[in-house]
Amino acid sequence: MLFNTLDFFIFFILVLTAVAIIRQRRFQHLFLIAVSYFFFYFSSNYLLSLLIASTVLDFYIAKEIWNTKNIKRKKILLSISLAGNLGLLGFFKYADFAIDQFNILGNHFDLGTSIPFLDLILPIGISFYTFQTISYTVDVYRGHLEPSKSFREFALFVAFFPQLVAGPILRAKDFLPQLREKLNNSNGISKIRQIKIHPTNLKIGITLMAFGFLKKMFFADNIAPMVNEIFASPIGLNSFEIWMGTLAFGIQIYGDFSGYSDIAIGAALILGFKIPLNFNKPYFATSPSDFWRRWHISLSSWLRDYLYIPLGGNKKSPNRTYLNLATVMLLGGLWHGASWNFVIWGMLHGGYLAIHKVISDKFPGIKIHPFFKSKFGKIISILITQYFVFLAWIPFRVGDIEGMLYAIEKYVFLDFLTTQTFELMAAHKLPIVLLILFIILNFISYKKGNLLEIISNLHLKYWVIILFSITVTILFFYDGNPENFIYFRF
Amino acid sequence: MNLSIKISLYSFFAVIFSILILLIILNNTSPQLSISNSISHDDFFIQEFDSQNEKIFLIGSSHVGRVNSTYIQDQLSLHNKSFDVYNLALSADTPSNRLKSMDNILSIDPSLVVYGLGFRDFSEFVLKSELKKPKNILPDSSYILPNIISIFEESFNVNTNIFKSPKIITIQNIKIFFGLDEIPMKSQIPQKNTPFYIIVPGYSIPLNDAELKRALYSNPYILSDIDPKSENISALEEIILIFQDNNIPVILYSTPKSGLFLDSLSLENKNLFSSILNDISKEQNVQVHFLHDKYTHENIWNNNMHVITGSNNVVHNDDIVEIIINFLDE
Repeated sequence: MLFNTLDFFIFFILVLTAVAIIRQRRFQHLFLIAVSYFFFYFSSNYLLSLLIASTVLDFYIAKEIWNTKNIKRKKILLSISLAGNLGLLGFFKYADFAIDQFNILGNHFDLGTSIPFLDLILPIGISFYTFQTISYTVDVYRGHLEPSKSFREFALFVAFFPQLVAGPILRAKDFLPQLREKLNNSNGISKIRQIKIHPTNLKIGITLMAFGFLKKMFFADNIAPMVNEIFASPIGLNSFEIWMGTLAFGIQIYGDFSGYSDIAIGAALILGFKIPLNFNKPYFATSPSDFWRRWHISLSSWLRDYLYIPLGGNKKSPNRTYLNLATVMLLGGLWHGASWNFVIWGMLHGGYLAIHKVISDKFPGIKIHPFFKSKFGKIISILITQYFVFLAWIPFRVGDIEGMLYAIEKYVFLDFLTTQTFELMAAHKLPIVLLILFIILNFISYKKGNLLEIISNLHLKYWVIILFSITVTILFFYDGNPENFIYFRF
Repeated sequence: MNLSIKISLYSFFAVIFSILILLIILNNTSPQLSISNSISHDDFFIQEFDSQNEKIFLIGSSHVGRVNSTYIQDQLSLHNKSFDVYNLALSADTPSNRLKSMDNILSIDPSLVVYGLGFRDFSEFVLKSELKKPKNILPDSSYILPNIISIFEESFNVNTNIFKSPKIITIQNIKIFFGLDEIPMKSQIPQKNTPFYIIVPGYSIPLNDAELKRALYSNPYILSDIDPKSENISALEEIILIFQDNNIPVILYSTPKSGLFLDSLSLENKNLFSSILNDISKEQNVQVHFLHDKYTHENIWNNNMHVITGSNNVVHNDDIVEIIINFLDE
């Protein structure tokens, strides 16, 4: 079910009404599991069975890991969990990619045979919920988390519908305690109402959802046609068109994905659950590592905790640190999709992080240099960082290698053609106006601090005027052919 | 009142009020929608036709709309064949839809009907993303809401189509408000004897290969597989039968498509399309001409499914002329 459809609007109102009516905590949980499964089934049908399989596997394995004292047995159980989850992910996401590479290699060596593709459907959200269950089992294995005693609570953690299909990737240590918060506070009286719709949460949640819809439906969906047209076949375009396409895609994917995250966080908050922030003004990052502290925070922190640190992080030799950074980002790129363009995107970011680390290590004084502390120095840092971040969006967006290399060349080596530039601007007036508006609004948001909090704290009558203005803007610029959320396909 | 209920009610009314404003503005400021959707067939069909002149009707969807009826009429008269040629193409028309207006067409008693058909007549456009959804082994829940909406539409006789893309009307209204541009309706080119299909200047501009490629790949829609049991096939057979019962001969032709578009279709679909038309041709004894792959190397494409209008596209119009002349000479 897409958030930006009437289906979700009706679904969410019905869920809220039912949650407000159901008076017992246990039934509220069961109800939320049922509606989460329905939400998933709505778009994925029988693939719901994979979600349930992953839930059952990790619930029981984590329990066994916790109960056993034998280190070897703990390791075997953890391996089973990892093999199960990564096997599921690998099979559905990467099998055809691996077959394709094998066939290419076979052709190269004239083996004369090729393996037919499996043509598997990628189950929506599989990359997100498998990472959630893996983090749970690993945390239990490390002794950082006590396993959930209740299957019901664990199932709700895995399937909680607002973040089920495209994150943010939840951590059990953040979510499970929320399910037992009121229970613990009430000395174990099980009939306490767990979910109470609190006015403050409701107001902030609705504001967040409205912001999310605005980012997705007003900005991202209306910018998308220009991006699609430019990057469907970039060969022959001039630098200005490539720059516009890259800028537009950077803003589209930010509006799309952070919009989704805002809706998810807002919906969860209305239901009384706090989901951690997934984006924090990433296009104001002053370095590659700063960018990854602001972009898709739940994934970057997951990669740090469950991949970078186990690989040795920065605790070993400098060369090993650079290699770890490159490996983590390469795998992070591959996590997005089974395609070489995502590998290139990951490698570019791995390279940026490694180079940034080399510079920081070689010139430790650079961070505290007065120039980089000044306003001008900060602007320069932002511009340089974003130049490379946006460069990396090209391989992320353009799957065709030839087109991608052409676009990268035009992005780096400038070659402007006036006529084509004016034609592009004339053909895409609305996306260009929206790009300018988005940049202005982001700048205001950056300067003014937390815009969301400011709006949520407004008196009800002023708040509702803003809500009304956002709704009117979304409705009047509704495209009619809404794009799927980009991260749904990951 | 409980603050949560107050916030919920305020939010609910903000949304409802926004929708109401949208409804009012769309209803009052959507000239291009009201014209394209509500061209009354009766306005055309009730006019006084010269009963002395024989008439040829071209029917079909927008693909047929690109055919220049005036040019064809002039060319026929150069060959001493005097006919009034009317292009009765309708955007997104299908045989099932056309069947509903047969009485109107019969009332004018044309001498010949030339019916252009494309792949879309036997399949439908679906979102590319929809094709990637898993095949259902369980009931598909995503049909629940569309079904409820369609029941609502039928029960209350409401047309929700005008709310499917308010963006176009909003942009148009902004342009009118600021006097920035002419609205599309003003820029349409009046086409003699083509009453239902609107031609705009952009239709005469050919796209190059790169632009066609971009247009194809950026299109979120794709044609679904041809359904051999499509209701449009039986509707087409019924249309032909009705014409034949009224002694009106019919010629079928497949509408032109770009090479890129044809390459994007599977061989099975292309074969099925040809076999449907061939079967109808044999069973109902009508001529069928295959033009869908005839202009793949010509620079006459306004997009991958439509040829350009105007003087740069003589080749397709000439073929239609030739088909008609050959038929009349037989």
